[in-house]
Amino acid sequence: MSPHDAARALTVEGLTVDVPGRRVVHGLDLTVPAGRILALVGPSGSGKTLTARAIAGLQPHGGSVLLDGRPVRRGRDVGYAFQDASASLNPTVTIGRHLAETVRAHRRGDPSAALTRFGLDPALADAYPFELSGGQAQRAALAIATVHEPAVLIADEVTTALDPITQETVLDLVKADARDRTVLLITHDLTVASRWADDIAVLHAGRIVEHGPTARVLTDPRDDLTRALLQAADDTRAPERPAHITGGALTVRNLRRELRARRRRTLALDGIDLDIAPGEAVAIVGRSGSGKSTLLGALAALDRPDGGTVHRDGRDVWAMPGRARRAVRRRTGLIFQNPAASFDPRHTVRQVIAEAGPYTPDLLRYVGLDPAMADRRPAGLSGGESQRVAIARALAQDPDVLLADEPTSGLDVLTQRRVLDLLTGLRRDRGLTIVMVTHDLRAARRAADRVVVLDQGRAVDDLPTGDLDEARHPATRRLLAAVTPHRTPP
Amino acid sequence: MRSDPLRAKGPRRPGGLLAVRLRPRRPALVTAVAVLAVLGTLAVLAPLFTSLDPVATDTSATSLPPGSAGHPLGTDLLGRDLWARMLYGARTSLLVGLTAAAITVVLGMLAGGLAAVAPRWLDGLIARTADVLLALPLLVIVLALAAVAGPSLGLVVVAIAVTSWMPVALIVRAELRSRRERRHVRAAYALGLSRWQVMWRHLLPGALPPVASVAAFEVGHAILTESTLSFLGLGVPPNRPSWGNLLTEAQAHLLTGEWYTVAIPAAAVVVTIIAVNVVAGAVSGPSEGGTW
Repeated sequence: MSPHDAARALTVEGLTVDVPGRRVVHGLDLTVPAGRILALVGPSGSGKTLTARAIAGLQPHGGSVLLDGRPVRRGRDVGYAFQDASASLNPTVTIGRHLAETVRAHRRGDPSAALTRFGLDPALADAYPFELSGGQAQRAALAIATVHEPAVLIADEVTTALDPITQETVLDLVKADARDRTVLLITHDLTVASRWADDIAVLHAGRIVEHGPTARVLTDPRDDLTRALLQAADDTRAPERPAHITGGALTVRNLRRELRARRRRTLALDGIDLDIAPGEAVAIVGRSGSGKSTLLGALAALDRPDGGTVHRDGRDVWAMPGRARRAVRRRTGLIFQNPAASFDPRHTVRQVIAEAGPYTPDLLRYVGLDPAMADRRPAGLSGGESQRVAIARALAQDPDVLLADEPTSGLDVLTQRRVLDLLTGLRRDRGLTIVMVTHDLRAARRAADRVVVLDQGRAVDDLPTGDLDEARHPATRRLLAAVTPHRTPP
Repeated sequence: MRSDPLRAKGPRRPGGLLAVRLRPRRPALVTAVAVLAVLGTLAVLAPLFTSLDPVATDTSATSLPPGSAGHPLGTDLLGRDLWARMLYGARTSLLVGLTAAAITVVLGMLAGGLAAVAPRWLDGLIARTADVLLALPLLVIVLALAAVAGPSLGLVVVAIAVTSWMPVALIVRAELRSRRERRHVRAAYALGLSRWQVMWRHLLPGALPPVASVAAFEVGHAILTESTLSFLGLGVPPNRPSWGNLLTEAQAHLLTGEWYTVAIPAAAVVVTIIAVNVVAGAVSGPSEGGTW
């Protein structure tokens, strides 16, 4: 372990980063003392990741990045944990070899200590990245980033893809690890920053618009963007009820579904009973692997259950002929998790929408996009834009049931708010039935009037959104506890 | 308003395999089409471009270099005019090359597409048949076919198609199988599309770019295979010129200074392959910016 030294600090002066054609980061100044966690917060495209990459020496940049007054040595001084751990690890190499490689390159570090530090069994060194769960992979990536005891750890959106309970575990470990080093926590989630960071720097269009201790930034924000971010995060308006109801009804009885992989079988749904009335907005929440997405696939009449029935407006969808079932699917809008992958990469936005129903520019306008975007291809869309194109496609179907899988995950709070406003507005204006899968309880409160909690394939709780705080089931309590924004004493 | 798939198709540009996106501002494509058109015209109207007989020998004008009077591309050892032989050879080579490649690709796509959607036993049957045929030497199969049908130009085309559809089929099968698992294919099913619509709009178009590359290769392969078969007396009469024949005959001259007897027909084959590659790439639509 490197000795704790109060004089050590990461100093960034006049940092600029250019991408071909334009400047993305405009003269950034930052000082982070050792042992502190600085959260770099900002909407997508504000330059957070480029700043972090520049500090790590992975990106050509202007200005100076100093550690204790001397230039940062690439690799040696900065450990970098990436957003998508499973993609940043080599799938053909064990975790142990990843660790050993770093140790050999820097001639220091203890692989098993690094794993233990992040709550992993040292025996996991023999595992391959794809054998780990999302949370384990993320912790392994952090262990690899810190095995050679760098003075600075950059955690770039390390918990964006994780459910709140796993996120809590991972960030608690990062915080414990920060005693010995400077941590730069990159996130678009102010709740994360408020709970785990000592200082917050808000980044907007490549400039720091606000920088201060967490408590001060949260209680006394000085910049408009900070206020907007805080407001969006605190948005607890209840969804408005539709004036007239046109939506469809869904009924699920004793639904069972087994997922068969090459070697193992998982019971993803274990006897689910669920009634969704026309015009209702229901949020299905739960940890990763609780069966949420599988349930959505069954509700969409896409996956045939291994047991039980799915009724749509009183008719069993798996007892009807294929043609009628396809008609049911046409009346069901389905918004996928990671919507960009749900568009044919060869099609333009116009073709993507026209496949669901007649294309009109009004569809894009309704979701807040420029109709000029119709000729773009999916690869050129940002996360928020993809999400809105997915909603526009679902609208082109003129559905009476809208199913959305994690519609807000991976989006910054401002975009999340726009997407949720869009969904609630749709229900209010058109009387659709909405079923939304999410691990974000805040989004559930904002867009749903009923919450169904799944745990290991069972529906363990089913209650109005307003009663969420009084929920008794341990699985629900655990989810609630993990997202409660509370300040840890400095 | 409910959407139905027929109406949704209406005013749009044609989708799927019909989506030949011939944009005006694509110089490479325009050039490639022009090259193929010129080659085709030269072949069809060969007698208009030369007065010489491609098989007539002229002992007074043997082994002339290109640029000689009356013989723009020179003559071979027997005094046959190379320009005339190239023109008439184009007839055989383009006919065999393009037809055989087209049949190969269509046959391969049908077999591969069928294997990808068929029940397991049929998939296995098609895949194993392809494996077995890949393992057998081409000539054995062609000799067997010739014994039954007798030598002809048609036999050459059939023989080439029968012995080269396997790579196309295996590529198409593998592409379709991997694409089936893609999220956007699931999204297409979720929109209420039938299996055929998904196949036609999302799976096959995605599998086209690698097939387009193979198609261009197959043209060259067919042109050369034709000369091999003709040499064995299984195709066109050996004295009838084709680019393949010209190349086979010219092999011996490679080191004797008469390089042009090899270079000219070889250049013609290469130009054809490149032109077909460009056109096939355009027909298969924009790539995903991926591997091909």
